[in-house]
Amino acid sequence: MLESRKLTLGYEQHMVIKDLSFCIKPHTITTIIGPNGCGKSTLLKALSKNKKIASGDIFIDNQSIHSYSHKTLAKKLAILPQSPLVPDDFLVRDLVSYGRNPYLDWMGRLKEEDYRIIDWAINETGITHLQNRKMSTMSGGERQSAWIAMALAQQPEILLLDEPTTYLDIAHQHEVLELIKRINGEMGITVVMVLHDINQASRYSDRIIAMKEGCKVIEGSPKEVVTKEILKEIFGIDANIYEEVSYGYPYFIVK
Amino acid sequence: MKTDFRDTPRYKGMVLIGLILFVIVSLFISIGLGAYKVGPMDIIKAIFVEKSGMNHNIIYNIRLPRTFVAGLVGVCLALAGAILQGIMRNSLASPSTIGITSGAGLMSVICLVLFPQYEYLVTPAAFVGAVLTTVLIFILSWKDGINPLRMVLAGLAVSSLLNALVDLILIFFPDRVHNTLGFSIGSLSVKAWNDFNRIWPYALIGFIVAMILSKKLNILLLGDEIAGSLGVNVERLRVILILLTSLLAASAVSVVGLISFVGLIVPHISRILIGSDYKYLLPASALTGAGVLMLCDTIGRVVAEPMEIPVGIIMAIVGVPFFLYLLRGGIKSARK
Repeated sequence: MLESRKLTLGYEQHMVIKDLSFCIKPHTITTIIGPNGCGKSTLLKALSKNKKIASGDIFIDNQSIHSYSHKTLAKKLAILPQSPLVPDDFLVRDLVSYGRNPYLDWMGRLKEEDYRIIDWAINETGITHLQNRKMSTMSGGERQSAWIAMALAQQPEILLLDEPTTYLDIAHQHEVLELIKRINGEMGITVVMVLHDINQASRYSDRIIAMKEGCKVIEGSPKEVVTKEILKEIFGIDANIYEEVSYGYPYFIVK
Repeated sequence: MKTDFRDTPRYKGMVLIGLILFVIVSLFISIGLGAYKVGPMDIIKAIFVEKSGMNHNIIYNIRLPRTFVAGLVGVCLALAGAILQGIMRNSLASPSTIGITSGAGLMSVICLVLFPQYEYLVTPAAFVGAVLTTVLIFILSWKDGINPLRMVLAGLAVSSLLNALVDLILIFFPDRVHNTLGFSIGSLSVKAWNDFNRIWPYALIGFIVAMILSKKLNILLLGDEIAGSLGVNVERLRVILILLTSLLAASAVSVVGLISFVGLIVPHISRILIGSDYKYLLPASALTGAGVLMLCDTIGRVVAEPMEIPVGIIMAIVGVPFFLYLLRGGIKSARK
């Protein structure tokens, strides 16, 4: 269980996240939505201990993330930033193998079990035929699959993704989201992601957290969050809400 | 698309073997050439068989320690450069561009002036200078990560100032530092076995620690966020690596003075040859650095006989055009 209690953090003068509390239930998909600069990416940094917290705290299984060692935390929580860096000539398989880092001794040697898990992660994300390629030769969707494979090799309980569909065309966006859905459904990994496309958030999430200016505006099921009033309040847009016929989730079109 | 042969461990192993041969050839060239020329067989005889005589004297007491010191200086500076380029995620980083060598140089000179009788204090003093300079550059160029432009500018400013201070001290106390000119441009002249003994432990320890951390360096290339998410204590790792590069650069500087370009260019050449995976890049840089410095020192000894050109000048003459070529995008075309 991932929980944020009265979290406040930011830069010297300007607090980017203010008094943010939420509780994410295990095995669910939660999507954070909100306008640019609402503090989503800063929140993800704080969750990976990459940003100092001013007050409040983040808890995993009722224990502050600051009481976990870096390695123990990495076994529970994996994070993929928005557009991660990678040297052009790193091989896909090597990249995935770095997911085993939290489990390795100080010499960093991979054991038989590690190789088995790397193979499994590569297989699950459907990039077996690409594993010996350079990252630079991969398409955007394939790269994203490689990064997700790396996170899977980490065997986390919780996976955080910052805009996993950025720079992808609609077909690949769908592919990546389906993969995330499968990871959640089959492996029971709790997923927290940031998405810009609210209709996609509505389609793929159990819960949605809507943020504005560093504060949580509302948290609830897609039906509770994707409404005329909320869209007006957060993004200042007038929209009509419809219900998707076969799945029953709400979607909107701007007036 | 099939796997590129150049991406296989087998190819990379072959490159490393090639580089080992390159170092061995450079070793014989460096020992054999000079005002007095000796063939490869005579070199082996002079080292392992003869116990006295002119060949033995020149080879064993003069050329051999000098060549070894050259090689190890190359190893230290190349490793320091490769590691710095990783932790700063910037291909323009190197011990000389960001002023680490100047900081180490200043502290060495101060130490030589204040405590001329304690030669063994020079390397630790240089180490302190190197660490302080690196920390200063980090503070000056850090803003949510290293800002490359700030880093280069801060390095330029800091190293100019420190170099000026080195020159100032050398002007006031010319008798305290042997070969003052040699120190400020980097020279291997009159290096003997005691110099070799001052550098090999650092080179060895530096290489071993760097190899142990090579995987972590790879992870650091993926950015702080990913590295943190993968369980790497990014801040601690960065401090350890800064101490390591400072140690490597300091041991080189305290023996030969301020040599530029080795730490900048050798990692680039190695990256073109073997790729950016640190597991291979570090040994490749060490070998290339050793060979390049031995050859450049030999060129300096031979090209204007009987005058000797300090290796620092040769490095600059060879290095600057190569660096400009790299800046013009040579890296990319060479990889493809």
